[in-house]
Amino acid sequence: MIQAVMVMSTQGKPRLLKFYSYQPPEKHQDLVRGVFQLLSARPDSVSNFVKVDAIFGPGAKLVYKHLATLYFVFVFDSSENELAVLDLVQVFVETLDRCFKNVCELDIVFNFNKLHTILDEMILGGQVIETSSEQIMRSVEEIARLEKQSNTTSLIPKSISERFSR
Amino acid sequence: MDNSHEQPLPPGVGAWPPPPSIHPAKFQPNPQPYATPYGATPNNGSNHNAASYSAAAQPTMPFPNMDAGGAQSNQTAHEVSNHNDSAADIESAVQEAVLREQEHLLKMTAEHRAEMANKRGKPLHADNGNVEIGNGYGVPGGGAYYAANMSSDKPKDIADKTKGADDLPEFLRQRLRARGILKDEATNNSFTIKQNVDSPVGQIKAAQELPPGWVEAKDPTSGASYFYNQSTGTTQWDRPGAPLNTMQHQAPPSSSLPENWEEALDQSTGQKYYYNTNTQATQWEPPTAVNPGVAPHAPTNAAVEMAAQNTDIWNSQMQRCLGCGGWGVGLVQPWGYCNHCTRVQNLPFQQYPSYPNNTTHSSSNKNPGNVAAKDRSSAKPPFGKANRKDHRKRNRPEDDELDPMDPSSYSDAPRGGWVVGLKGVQPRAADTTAAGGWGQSKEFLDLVKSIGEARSKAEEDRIISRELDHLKRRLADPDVPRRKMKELLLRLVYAEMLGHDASFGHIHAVKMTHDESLPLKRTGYLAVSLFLDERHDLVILVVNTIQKDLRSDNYLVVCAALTAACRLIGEEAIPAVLPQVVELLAHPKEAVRKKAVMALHRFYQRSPSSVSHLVSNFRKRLCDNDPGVMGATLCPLYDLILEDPNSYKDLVVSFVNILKQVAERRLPTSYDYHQMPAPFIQIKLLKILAVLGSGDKQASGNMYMVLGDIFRKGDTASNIGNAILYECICCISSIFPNAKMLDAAAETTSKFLKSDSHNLKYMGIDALGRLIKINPDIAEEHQLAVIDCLEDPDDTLKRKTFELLYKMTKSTNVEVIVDRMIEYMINITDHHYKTEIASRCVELAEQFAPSNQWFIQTMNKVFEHAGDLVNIRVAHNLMRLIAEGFGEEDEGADSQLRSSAVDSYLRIVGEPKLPSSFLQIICWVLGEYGTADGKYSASYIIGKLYDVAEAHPTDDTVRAYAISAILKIFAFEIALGRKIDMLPECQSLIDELSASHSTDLQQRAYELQALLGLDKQAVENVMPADASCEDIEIDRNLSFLNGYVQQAFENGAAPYIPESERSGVVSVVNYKAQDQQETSAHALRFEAYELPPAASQASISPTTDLVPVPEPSYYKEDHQMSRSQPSGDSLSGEFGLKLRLDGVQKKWGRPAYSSSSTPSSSTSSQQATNGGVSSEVGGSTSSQARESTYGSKRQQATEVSAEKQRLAASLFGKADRKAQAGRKTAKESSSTEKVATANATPQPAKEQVIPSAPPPDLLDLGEPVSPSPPLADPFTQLEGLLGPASASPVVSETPASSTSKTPDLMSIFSDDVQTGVTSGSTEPSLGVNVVAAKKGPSLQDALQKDAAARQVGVTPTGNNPILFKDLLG
Repeated sequence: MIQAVMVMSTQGKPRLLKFYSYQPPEKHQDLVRGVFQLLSARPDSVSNFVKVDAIFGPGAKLVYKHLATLYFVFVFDSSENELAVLDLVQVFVETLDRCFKNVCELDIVFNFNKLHTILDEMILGGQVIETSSEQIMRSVEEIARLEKQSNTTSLIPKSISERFSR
Repeated sequence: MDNSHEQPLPPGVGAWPPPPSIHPAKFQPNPQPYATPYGATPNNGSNHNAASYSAAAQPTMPFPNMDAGGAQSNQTAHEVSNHNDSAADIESAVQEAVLREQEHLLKMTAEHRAEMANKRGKPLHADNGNVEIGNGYGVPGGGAYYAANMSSDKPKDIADKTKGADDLPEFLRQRLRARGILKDEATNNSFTIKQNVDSPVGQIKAAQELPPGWVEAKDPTSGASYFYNQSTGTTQWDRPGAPLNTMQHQAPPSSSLPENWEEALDQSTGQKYYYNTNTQATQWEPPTAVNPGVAPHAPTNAAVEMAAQNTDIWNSQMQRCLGCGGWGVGLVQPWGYCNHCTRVQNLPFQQYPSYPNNTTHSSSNKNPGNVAAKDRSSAKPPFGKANRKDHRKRNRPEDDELDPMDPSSYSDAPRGGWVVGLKGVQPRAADTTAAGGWGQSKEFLDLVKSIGEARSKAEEDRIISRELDHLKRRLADPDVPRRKMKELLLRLVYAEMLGHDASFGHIHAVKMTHDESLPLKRTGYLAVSLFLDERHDLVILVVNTIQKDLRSDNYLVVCAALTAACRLIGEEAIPAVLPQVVELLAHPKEAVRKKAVMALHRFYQRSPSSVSHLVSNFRKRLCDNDPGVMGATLCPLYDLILEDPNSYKDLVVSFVNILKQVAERRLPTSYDYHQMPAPFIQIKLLKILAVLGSGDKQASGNMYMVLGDIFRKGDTASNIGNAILYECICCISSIFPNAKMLDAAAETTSKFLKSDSHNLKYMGIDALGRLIKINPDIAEEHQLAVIDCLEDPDDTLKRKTFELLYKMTKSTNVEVIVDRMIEYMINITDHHYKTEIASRCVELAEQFAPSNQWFIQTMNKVFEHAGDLVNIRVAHNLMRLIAEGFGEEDEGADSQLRSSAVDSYLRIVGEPKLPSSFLQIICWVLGEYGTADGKYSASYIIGKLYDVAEAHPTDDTVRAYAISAILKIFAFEIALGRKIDMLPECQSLIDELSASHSTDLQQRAYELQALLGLDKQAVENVMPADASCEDIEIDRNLSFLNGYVQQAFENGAAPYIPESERSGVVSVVNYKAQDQQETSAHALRFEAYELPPAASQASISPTTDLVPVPEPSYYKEDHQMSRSQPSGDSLSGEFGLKLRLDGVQKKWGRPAYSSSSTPSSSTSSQQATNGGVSSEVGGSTSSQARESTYGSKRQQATEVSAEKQRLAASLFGKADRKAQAGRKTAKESSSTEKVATANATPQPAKEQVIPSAPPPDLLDLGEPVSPSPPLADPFTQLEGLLGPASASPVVSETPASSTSKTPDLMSIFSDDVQTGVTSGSTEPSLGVNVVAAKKGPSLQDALQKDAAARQVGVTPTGNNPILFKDLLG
């Protein structure tokens, strides 16, 4: 199962944190720091896998992708296949790119809630449920659309109901 | 949202309606003043323009417009005019800006204007018509405002500013200036004038004159004037013959347009673009590059600068050049400097010289601080680099090789940049558009920006705590609109992500989940699931909402609720939502079904018992119409199958079918990922099959075909293809082996290993590690690849390779491997991994040490560098090893070993910073053997020991060891009759320790003092020389009371029944029963204790610490290993230990050692050991028992051992075999964890053995060599007892020549069984042993498994006949 998804900048700033297995909140920053130290020490052009049992407990592995100024990090246990998770990162990034049209770090900072929406479509409770970025985009757009809709519609019924209630 | 950009080109530019109904920002139907309208009058048009252009280009001229500030001011003028609605008028006015400086020409200008106006039929007063705009007054560029026919109110803002001096009539002004009353830039200007006196008059003329055929007209709706070409019928807002100023700014790029290219404005975006009148092609970029070297007029830098700013200005907030402060469209490059400054200052970005060529996003975007480059919204007119950006976007395929988003850029981190850093973020309109429709406000933006700019952590913390205070206030404020609340909450989430406590807002998040509006609700759920977890108190408030929302009509609400449920619903709350979730499994939306499956899975993980009755739902969902739901269902099924494969065996065929269909692309193509059909589903299925096929020949048989199929179709080019292949290899190495499949797997593995990608190498190493368990030969051909990986700079790969080597270690390569490991270990700082690798070094060294010398040295190295990290038992083990020597036969070698150890320790002991455990070893060895060979004097050693004690005043353990060692030295000296003097400092140490806080140290000190007073005889008794490995019996079972107990029984006392037995806890009963057995065993002991236990030794000497507690499984390991050692046959490659410990047990009366199970060797040895144990149960520590243990061990693989087995068989009778068999049954059955039944079976055997059996029978542990009839019985029994998993191998084993092979097989197939066996084997043994088993840390377990695997792997043919029979034929 996937234990955590992290996006952090190359300066070590968290941009997105999502934990699927329980981690006490006060530990989050330590985890980010630990992972960042690990990743920043790695040279270019090495493998994208790191064993992180020292940070996340026995058997934990991590797959990361370094894109421009961001690290995309997926932490998972032995029940996942490293290469597959690497592709999952790819799916995630591809989806972001679709979603933001040439995504950049700023998008991720400002729209981390959207990132969460995307992640929720991909991973639920630590298990991968969707791996097609197209499909993910479709649902995310649907959500956006319905949100907008419900935004406008909810105002009317609200006023009506208020009138009725008076 | 970007559509207009994607197809931004209205090619119907020419057909624009004559008087535009609305004011176009700028519309240039005729963007080539040179070429078309103006070209008709070349004599007064282009020539003059060219002249003025070159004049303007003189950077040395002190022309206000031309220096750095000038560029900027001009732009401002442009901007102001553009943003004014009366665009056309102002534009034309601005275009004359330069005229302002040439005041002496003003009059003439006025005349010209008048002339022009006359032509158009609009009289114009020269003086009144011009509003002079002073340089530096609001409109920095200054300019003569052409106010001929503008509605006066429009430029008021400008005009107002310039009132005052500039409003004065020109002549008056000149007069004033002459008198020195008016002092402004006018002075400057007059100065300029002098320089420009020779500026051609025709310039101005050109500026004022409309080309022939052009007429100025007024738009009736707006009052703005436009121009109309009578001959062509075209209209435009701009003056046709662009006046001088415009020339300077616009002409160069325009003029550089090639034939047929025209410039136009995209109406929707207000952006300039170019189109080809011939081809109708359109583009954002000017068709030719404006490059300093290529520019037609070879302008100087400054001119190019100007040229670069040619286009319109859209926004007053243009980014400014960090060098010169200039700004303008396209002027400031992404790195914050204009091209000019870049060149002048020789900035590193020069490599991307001028902008039109500079279109690759990687260069334009990668520079931090460039926010402008990031702009995707078409809602607002793109500005700045939007041009390039959009261009790039359309041309994306060309750029793709640089695009890090390119799926093909897999393994290595791409260098390109689609991301800009946050440093120096400039808050501007564009950024808020970046937030898109998801509505982050300016406040949030500012927060992010200030955090990004924070210089220190402290500053950041301050900013955030200020933000938190603000949020706290706002959130508590009831008047805050709900819409706003959402944003506040998101900001709170952001603050919490940065590690700040936002707990005050949790309740607000909970509240927001109650909201009716979907966005708010979703935000609420998001915040709640990020803030809270199932243990949080507030969750109880959410449960109700979730419950309600699960019933919602809106599937998005349901989804949000399910997502939150996954995260928040704890064990107690599961029943509250369970019915709804189950209902949702049949929801019409597949997204909901998928999530419901996952939620159910999550519940199952949380609390299997509460969902167990619903597990069948997963099976049902497997048949879901939607492949996505089916794929999702595989996740819970995988977990379930992992737990209990047997109850899902029936699904094997279904899984295989699904996999087959997926691999054959029967799924909709929407499930393809990078041309692979639903790869993630395939991987999951393969994982499941691996579990189901493990050790199940029949199930595996079903899989071979589809696996082969996947191998054939395998795509090694793509990442995901390799992922599937890797999973296939895992599957094949896990299921029942098939030669053909293994070949395919080996082939793929070698492909991985030969690949250049580190990722694939990593996978290759991993796969190799799996395959060599089955066939160790595979490793041979990849030796070089493996060595390469070992040298690789990639740490991950290195570690993985060490893991592999660890699995591959044999006595032949142990030296190389361990040396490598230690070398690596010294260099790493990661404690966690250091510990791991150190303990592996130790383990390998103990198992395979080729020589004692090497072993000691290796251990020294390990202790020196990781002494504090390794288990203290390893240290004890080393001491014991040195003490026991490596074989009785060769005392000389032993003492040689000891003295070499002493030598090395004396050398090392002075070094600073030795780990505590290492010092303990040193002290102990020096104490025991420091003076043994007479090389060193007692006082020398004592001095060294004293130094140690002094150097570590805080480490009580080390001090205790040191003082004990000193005691021993004294004792030995006294025993030898030599008199040694107490060193004064030593005496003071003793005094100090006698007053120590630690009672242990005190006691030792007092004992030392007491010992000094004893005579030789007494000392010899108390501290016998070289007796450290003599066993000291501690009769924990109080066997000396047996007689008394017996008597009591005879007198009718009720026998004691252990509590656990009374309550019927079976497993404990076993243990207790053993205790009793042991008691009797002691009673039956017939071998004399070798030496009387010395009481003082027990308390003083550290050796005693070792002796009485026979727990460490480490001991067992090497005992066992060493026992197995002497055989010189081929298999000794595996066991070829040269540490000969065979005789050790003889010294150690203690059964524990010989009874130890051998974790590192296969279960078979454990079994045999087990036999040994029971022989001891029988009350013997005799060498015979040991022999049998040894024999049983050997027997598993070698002929030599077979001989020994025969010997053993002839030595020991059938009864033993029977006993052994019985015991074995017990063990097997307990391995299946059916403890109760297990108990029943072994019990008779034990009973038979324990109480009464005659010593010779008991002693032996029976070598289960030849399958004899009695053996068969327990096995048939076994068949019934065993679970299906282990049953089949065991049963199939029976006919094989040796029963001991069974466990080997089992260890291959199932780790679980293996562990089961381990525990089982220890169970029937003595209580002491149980202790040992209990103490074994989980790591130990893991190591045991590994070791077992190794053994299996290395001696394949001999060990696993069944397995390989199958493999080979």
